Parts: sequence; C-alpha cells; structure tokens
Amino acid sequence: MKPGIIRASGLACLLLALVPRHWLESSMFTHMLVQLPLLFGAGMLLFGRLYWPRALVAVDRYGLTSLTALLFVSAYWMIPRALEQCLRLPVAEAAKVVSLTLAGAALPGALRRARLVIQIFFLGNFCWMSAIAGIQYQDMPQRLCNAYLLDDQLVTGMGLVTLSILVAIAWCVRHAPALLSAQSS
Amino acid sequence: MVMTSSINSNSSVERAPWPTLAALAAVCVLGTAALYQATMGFAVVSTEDGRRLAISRAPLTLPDAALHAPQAMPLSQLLRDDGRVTILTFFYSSCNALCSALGDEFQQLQTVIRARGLQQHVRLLSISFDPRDDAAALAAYASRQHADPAIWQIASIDRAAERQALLDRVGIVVLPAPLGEFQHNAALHLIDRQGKLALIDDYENPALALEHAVKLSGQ
Repeated sequence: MKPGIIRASGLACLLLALVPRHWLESSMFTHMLVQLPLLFGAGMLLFGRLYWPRALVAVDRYGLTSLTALLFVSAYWMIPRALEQCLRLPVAEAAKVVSLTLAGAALPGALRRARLVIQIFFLGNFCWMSAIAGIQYQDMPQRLCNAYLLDDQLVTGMGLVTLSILVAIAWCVRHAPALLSAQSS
Repeated sequence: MVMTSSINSNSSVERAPWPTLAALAAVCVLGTAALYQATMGFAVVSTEDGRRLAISRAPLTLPDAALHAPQAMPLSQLLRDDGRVTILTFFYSSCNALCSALGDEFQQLQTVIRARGLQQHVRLLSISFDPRDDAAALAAYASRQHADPAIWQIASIDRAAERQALLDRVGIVVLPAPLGEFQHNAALHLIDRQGKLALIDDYENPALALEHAVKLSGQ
C-alpha cells in the first residue's frame, strides 16, 4: 500500500477515536473495543514504519521490550477502574491516548524482530488475558464500572472474548504460509 | 530458510543482550507500578471497590447541601448536631429494583435498632438524588416504608449543583436507564459522629453495617 494511504488511514483512526470521544466513552463497549483499538491502529499506521535508530533497536532485541510493554498496556486498560478513571481524570485520558498510540507504533517493528516462537508466546498471553477478562466481565453479577450499565459490561465481556479469538485467527492466517512451507521443507 | 534463521540467531546471541534486558526490567517495573496504582495495591479492580477502600483509608468530609423535607436544614447540621452515627443511603422514591430492596433493608434495620434500644446511637438517613422527588413524594415513600422519623429520616436536596457536588464527592454515579429508571451504585454509607463519611458497607449486608455503626458510635 502507498505510504500516503497508510498515513491517511492512520489519521482517520486517530480522528475517529478522538473527535466523538464523549460519545465513544459513554458506553463501556465502544470505549474499550472501539476507541482503544482505533488509537492502537492509529499508532500502528502513523508511526509503525518509522525508522528506529540503532540505539533503540538495541534495547528491543527480538521485540521483547516492545511486546512486554504491549502486554502491560493491554492489561492496564482491561482493568475496569483504570478505564473509568479516564472519564474523571484528564491525566488518565492523556495516558490512554499516548500509551495505546505508542504500543501501536511499536508493534510492526517488534513483530519484524521477534521470532515466531516469541510471537506465539506473547500472542498466547494476550489472548488468554483478554479471554479471561471477558469471561470475568460476563460472570460478574455486579457492575465493575459505576459509569456503565451491567448489560454494557456483559456485551464488552463477549467482545473481549471475540477479540482474543479474532487476534489469534488473524495471526494464524498471516503466518500460515510460512509455517506450512517450513513444515514441508 | 531454516539454516539462515539459525545463523542469525547465533550472531545476535553473540552481541551482549544487556541493553534489551535492562529495558525489559524497566518496562516490567513501570508496568507493575501502573497496575499497582490502577488496582490500589492489587486490592480492587472495580471502581466501586476502589471507592470503598479509599474511604476506609481516609474518612471524607462531605460538601454541604441545603436539605428539604422533612425539615429544611443544611446537611452538615443534620449530620453533626445529631450526635448519632448515621447510616446513609442514596435512592429515588419511584425505584422498583435496588432502592426498594434498600427500603426493605432500612425498614428491617429500623426494627432492629428499636428492638436493641440503639436509637440513641444510630439513625438512618435516605437522601433522594431524583429531582422529581418533592416533599409529597418523599412523604408518601416514608409512609409506605413505615419510617419512624425519630430513627429514619428521608430527605432531598433542592439545588441541582449541591446535589451533584455531594454525589460526586461520595462517588455515586446515577445513570438514566430505560423506563424512567436510574441505575446507580447502592451502598450503606456510615457517617461518624463528627459528620465524616468513615466507611462504606455493601447494601446486601445491613447487619454488618449496623455492627460497624455501633462500633463507630463507641458503644
């Protein structure tokens, strides 16, 4: 794809995440599963292909540092209290935008550096974490966020489980040709 | 294909991995610190539990508000001049779900307080957050619940700004729900004799709240 198109769609993601901010944040589902992925996608498309200086590559051998940071970022924003703090605290809102954009920016380079086995390790961790969180959201008889309705929490839980499955499928589809050819050789 | 990748692996292992290990350690420390902050020391994940924990660690002074019904007076005066520990709950009178369960619990608490002769030490207060609850609506609610004004007072706040300030400070979030209802976090708020919010108990456990109230009253 042309760099211009990639940058334009990155900018579109960023604007879609930020301009209707209050509307997206009025529901747990759109807050966690629309706005957060849009911010992540914006980081990936806008900054994912930037050239990394050697010093930066040296602290991210095999993508280990980036992928670990990515797991922490995703774990943090799956904590209902952390998500709800964004509604009250501007500093939390800013931290959300910055951390997810940076995580998105770091992912393409990290994946280029990381071997398949390392990718599988982090993919597995991300997937079980979001699936367990999603199951917990659905099982809770009480609300985890005071600003969101119980039904909203239920749908968000289902969304998180779906996300974990989709991410795993996407990774498999992307790497299926390489894995198959490695097996046959 | 397999050969080249294993050669790459050897050559990159030869170079010192220390910068990456140091950065990895820094990320783990920062990440753990962030998770520690968000969960208040790995103690809570929900906003409601966080609110309760924060108040049990540091009692909260409530912002003042002018109450009306049953008698007009500032909230601070109602809480402080009384000398009793108050079990406070926020409700709206037309509620069919949570608040009516809360109402039943307050009715039972009232009976227990009377039976145990605790009315000199503990009292109940319900404050409505619904602007539709005027004096008549509250009086109807009080009579429906058989509230004894000596033990259980039911009040509302006239000024919207004062009402919102109180709810915000206490951490009550009221969401409009379908059919003219509200969803809100319900709990039993214990106000000590100095008028400070000292403890929040679960609304499902009124007996525990009463024990805590008795302890707070120094009995």
